[in-house]
Amino acid sequence: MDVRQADLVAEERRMASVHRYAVLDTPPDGAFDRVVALAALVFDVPVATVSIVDSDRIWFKAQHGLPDGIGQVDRDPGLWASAITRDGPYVVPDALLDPRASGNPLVRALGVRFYAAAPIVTADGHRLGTIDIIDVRPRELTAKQRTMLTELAAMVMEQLELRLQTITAVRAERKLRRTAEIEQRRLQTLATTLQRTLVPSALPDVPGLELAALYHTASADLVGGDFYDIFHLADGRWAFFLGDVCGKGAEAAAMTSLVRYTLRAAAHADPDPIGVLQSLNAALLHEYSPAYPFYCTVLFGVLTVSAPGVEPAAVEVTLAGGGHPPALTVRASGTVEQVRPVGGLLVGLMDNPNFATARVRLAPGDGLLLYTDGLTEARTPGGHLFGDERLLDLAATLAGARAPDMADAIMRVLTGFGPGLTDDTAVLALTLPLPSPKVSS
Amino acid sequence: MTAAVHLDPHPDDTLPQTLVIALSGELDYTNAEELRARILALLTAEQSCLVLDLADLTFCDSTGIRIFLALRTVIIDRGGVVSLTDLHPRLDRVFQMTGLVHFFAVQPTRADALAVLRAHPPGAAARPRLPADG
Repeated sequence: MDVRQADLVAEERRMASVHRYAVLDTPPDGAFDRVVALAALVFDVPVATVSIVDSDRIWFKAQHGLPDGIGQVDRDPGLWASAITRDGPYVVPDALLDPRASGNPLVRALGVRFYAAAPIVTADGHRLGTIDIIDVRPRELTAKQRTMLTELAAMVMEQLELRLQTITAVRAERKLRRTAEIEQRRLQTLATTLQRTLVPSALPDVPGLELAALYHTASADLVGGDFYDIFHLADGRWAFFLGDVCGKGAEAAAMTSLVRYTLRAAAHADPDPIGVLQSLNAALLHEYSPAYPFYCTVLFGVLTVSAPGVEPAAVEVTLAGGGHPPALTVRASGTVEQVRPVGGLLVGLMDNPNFATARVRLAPGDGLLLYTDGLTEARTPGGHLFGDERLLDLAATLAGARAPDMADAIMRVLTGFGPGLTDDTAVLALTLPLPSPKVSS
Repeated sequence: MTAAVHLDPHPDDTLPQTLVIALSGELDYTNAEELRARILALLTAEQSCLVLDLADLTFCDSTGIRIFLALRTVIIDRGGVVSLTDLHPRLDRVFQMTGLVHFFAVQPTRADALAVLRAHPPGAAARPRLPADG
């Protein structure tokens, strides 16, 4: 076939349009089936088709009256392949007498005598295919019937347009949903990453002291704002803190970051735990509007471990609190004491929060436990709270235990709650080990 | 767990300047912001006091408390007080431990809170409300 360059370009554009409507090789569709049935009825013909012309074939989106199994035919000239090249209806009154159609193999194979078609034209002028009526005897098509066939082709085009709009809408929605899911995952990753910066990746080695910490996450989606840290001060003491900011998620994680770095900076600048909490209070009041305050609870302490060789070894702790549950001193004897700095309001709410300190001295075998209220406020599956009393009972069983064993025991309790936990929990345990028994030679 | 918090206004004819609301259900980070908006929407321009009856509030997390504090800022700005009543023992313990009792007029019952407001009505709004006020 001698095809000019311009025709090739036009055909390329036409095929792009065909692909855009994404109709080739799709399953039967009732709307198009009804159109061909209607065409067969109103034109009183045995065969009617809705065809889409692909680059190398004529594919039937719907057909009425063709022998079973004919879903597509070749692009042989004379019938469909010729109809697609016309702007208006294409009529072959008698194929046997028509020089264009007589050579088409389907004329002989199907006994086609009459063929008429109207192109299915997109709004931008591309012919996707045709609606066709076929008879086994010669016929003429009146001007009115040509108009009717053209109208049917327009109906098919409208149906294709509707179908495309639905596909586009569904695709857009899927894409939107995928984007939202990705965004959600990204936010979770961000919050989780941020949260990892809120606790030290490893605890420092404090000579003479055993340390352990745990962070138990209640929900993988929404990180809580629990935090802790322990670090060396220039004057030889150690500073430590543990707390909980209000809220959950990325906002809480961002605030926790501010709290942690403010406490670290203030601890190096101010030897007094009350002064450190006041610095944090001022920083939070400055950062957040009173119309929507952001607050935290915190225990901040400094400790001094007696010099090596000093007997008996001891740890002196000064603890300041802002609205936080009391720390627990777990004595080697089995006694458990609540260390509760008197006063001390939530940090970040008012100018004069009245912070106070409490002092504790740890002897060998004693431990100090700091925890956030995710532990005591944990709701059991039955709806009961773990509560302070049960925590005191648990702590009593940990008398004389080393810090890592204390943390392990609490972790077992927390995992035992299963999905009943609503809040994250942080625990920091410090123990002064008993002197190792002297080995006699 | 999907928490739900409900809100029931209990207007008191003798205290037109007071918005009285009973909260029930569970207040947490999933519904706190919505509750704040709903209470602010109920608060009329004339009302400068807020009484929240928490008898049926079975759970309240830190975000819930933050909402009370945010409402308190609005009410203090109008020269009024926020009364919280009928706190569950657990919430009461949290309020004691954190010092939040100093931020609110915490009363044993709603009737107590209303009686105090009748006996000692807070002064009129400390300053005229400007159109720019949120």
